[in-house]
Amino acid sequence: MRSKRKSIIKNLPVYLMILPGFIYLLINNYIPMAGLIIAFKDVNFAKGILKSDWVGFKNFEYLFKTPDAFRITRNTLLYNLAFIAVNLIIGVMFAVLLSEIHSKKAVKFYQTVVLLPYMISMVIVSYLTYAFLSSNTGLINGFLKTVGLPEVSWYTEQAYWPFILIFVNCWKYVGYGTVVYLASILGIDRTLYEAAAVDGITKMQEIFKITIPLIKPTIITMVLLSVGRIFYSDFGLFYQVPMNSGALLNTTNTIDTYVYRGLITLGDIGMASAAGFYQSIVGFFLILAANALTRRYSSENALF
Amino acid sequence: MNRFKLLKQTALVLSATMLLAGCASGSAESSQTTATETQTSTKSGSGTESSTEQSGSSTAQDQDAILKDGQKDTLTVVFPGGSSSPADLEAVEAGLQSVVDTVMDATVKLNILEWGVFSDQQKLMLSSGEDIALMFTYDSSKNYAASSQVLDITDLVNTYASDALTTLGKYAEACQISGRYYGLPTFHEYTKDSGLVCRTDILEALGVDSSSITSWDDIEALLAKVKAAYPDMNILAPVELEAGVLPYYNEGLFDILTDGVAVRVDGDGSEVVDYYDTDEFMELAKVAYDWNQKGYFMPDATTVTDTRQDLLAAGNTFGYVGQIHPGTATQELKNSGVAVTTIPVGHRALTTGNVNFAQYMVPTSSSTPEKAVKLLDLMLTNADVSNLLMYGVEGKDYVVKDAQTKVAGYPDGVDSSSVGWNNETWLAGNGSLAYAWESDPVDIWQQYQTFNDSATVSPLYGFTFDTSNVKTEITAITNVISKYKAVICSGYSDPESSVKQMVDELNSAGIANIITEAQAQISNWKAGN
Repeated sequence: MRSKRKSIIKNLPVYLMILPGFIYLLINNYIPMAGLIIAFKDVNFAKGILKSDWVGFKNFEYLFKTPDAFRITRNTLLYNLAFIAVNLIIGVMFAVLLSEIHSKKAVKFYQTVVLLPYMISMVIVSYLTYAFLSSNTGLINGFLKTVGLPEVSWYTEQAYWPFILIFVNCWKYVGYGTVVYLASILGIDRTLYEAAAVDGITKMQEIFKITIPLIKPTIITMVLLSVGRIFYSDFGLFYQVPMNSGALLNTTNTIDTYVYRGLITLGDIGMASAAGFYQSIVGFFLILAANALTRRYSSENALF
Repeated sequence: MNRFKLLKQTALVLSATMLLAGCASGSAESSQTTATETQTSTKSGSGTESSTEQSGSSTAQDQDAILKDGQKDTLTVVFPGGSSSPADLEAVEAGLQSVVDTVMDATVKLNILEWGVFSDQQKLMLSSGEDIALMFTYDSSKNYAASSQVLDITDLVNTYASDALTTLGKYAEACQISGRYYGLPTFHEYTKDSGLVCRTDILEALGVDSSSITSWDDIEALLAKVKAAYPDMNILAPVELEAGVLPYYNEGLFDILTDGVAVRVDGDGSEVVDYYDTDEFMELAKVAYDWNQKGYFMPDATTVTDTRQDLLAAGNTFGYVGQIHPGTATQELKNSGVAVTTIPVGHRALTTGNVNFAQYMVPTSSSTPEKAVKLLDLMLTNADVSNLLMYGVEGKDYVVKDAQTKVAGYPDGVDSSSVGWNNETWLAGNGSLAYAWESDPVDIWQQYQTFNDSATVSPLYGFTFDTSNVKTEITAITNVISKYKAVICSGYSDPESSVKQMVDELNSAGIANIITEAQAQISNWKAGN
């Protein structure tokens, strides 16, 4: 008991350093949780949120009672699964490639190049995409025209969009994963590689037997984090990048864009909160499930 | 931009503030009472009740007691504009102040929100409890009233804005919801015609007399002529981004209750229809398809990212099909710098929605609704206020060119790009009290009046559709509409199949429920009238 108090006093400065972060978390992440009740209220500003009428699950109805419900849920889930897989594979690949470069300057350069799109706003990305895909001035159609192929009206042909969206998403976000994976590869003890080299290991074996197994914890953490957001879709990617083109809605409408389009006229915060509530609850349970699976098969890598 | 996220954030911030406010309000309230007793008595903390009871039977003396209570309350007016801080903002505020000082004790503040952020900011302001006297809306007061974000100001209007009511006449009615006022409309065109807006220079080059064009067929003949003379030109640009080219083809034929649900203006209003399942919409779809096949529409019309004004200014666009009212040509000239001719060929209807979309409302959070309504009254009835809001400061932003005919214009050396104040009629209270602008006809305001009064009055004029029981269906049909409308209005798809698909999807999205609900509300409304 005494020693505990002693250690608290001794480490007081350290505890104090936690304080700002703790307050930040409390204000930004915990207090707003009370706002979840809005999802169950018919918000009336004259009565105030706490005194507004309870309406049970009425605010949630619109997410399930429509013929689009299946499509938007499917789109959201499948796109996110594809994003997780593609970004993981390409991210790790880039990280491994970068780790093989010996020139420090070159690594920094490539790293910056890969990361740069991550810093760009989605609205700008949508215009970059437009520069490629626009019907009469787009680069791709210009190219198709020069080689004598028929031009494509990209913003009205929904079939191409799953690939376009996965590509744009990968282009934009892969740099982030690459940097994280690269950092963890650089953290691997070099003596392992030296020992393996003595045993006459091939480059491929080195990657698959040493590098990837050793960054597995990082990979699992990154995947778990993305699984938690699997019911959210990147609004900018699904709304801005297809230029909100109606003809593409079958393949570009996700939960977030559906809610946005529907509520832009109603402006009902109860219904908007209901969508957020639904997404976060599903995400929460998915994270629990994914973590449970991880614990079962490789318990040392589980998050909690 | 991401309004959905924003809504969620608002909700969260709100709940946090409510929790905090809940603890703090007790002490704050009591200290305020001692400090400013009069203010607390006029404060309508929880909405309508308090304001109703004290303004029910007030005489001029009572009014003065409230308006000239010695409290310099700040009256903030929020509306959208091109720049949030025009050079002469303070000078205009000072000008308004001198008018307000003669009527009541208050300090006027103008808070101009840039167009791009207006709608998001407005929603945040209304939900965060900021003390705002007058809030502009361009999507009617319906949703704000339904969630009590704005006050029922019926009694206040009758007391403090009776002059404005007289001035507005039948046009004030449109702002009533179930007989109660939640705001008053600005002066603007209360009806719209539709037709072609196109470059005057090309008309002249082709020797076309615009007055000879009186139907959509004539317009098509003109488009064909332009296409033949200027084969590389984009003939028609989309009227609004992401809306397609021909959405206004049927303007004035229907009174739209909510997108997709409408009644015919020439009927008795008893039959509610699915607009996208009417012969008129099918005709629009066919015309759009036909015109697009003939090459009259610019490519990528649904996704083009330049506004029609930019396209016109860029010089390779002939015009667009859109809504037309007396000030349209001037407005487009100001926005794009291109002289345009308007060729109206559509129908004019006076509907609730045409009037009440643009109005000033008093937010629930306003600390002095009485003074706010009085200020609104000034904006709608006082010529000095109108000139200030429309054109800025006399001598600096505008000069009177002809006092006899009441025409104003830019002072020497000032033009639309260097002027310190800019505003649009439909944002500025009652523009018809102000001078006519030199580029407009001298009798422009009379023209507005004649135009407004010439409209066919919709059988449902004064009725506002309460959508709160059918929100689920509205979310669903809005998504269906955004999937098809712009595509069909741009003539991208074969009308027979795409309109049928759209109608099928609207049906499975539950549009019938909305129609039934509207039908029931209309019967009630009619019984009450």
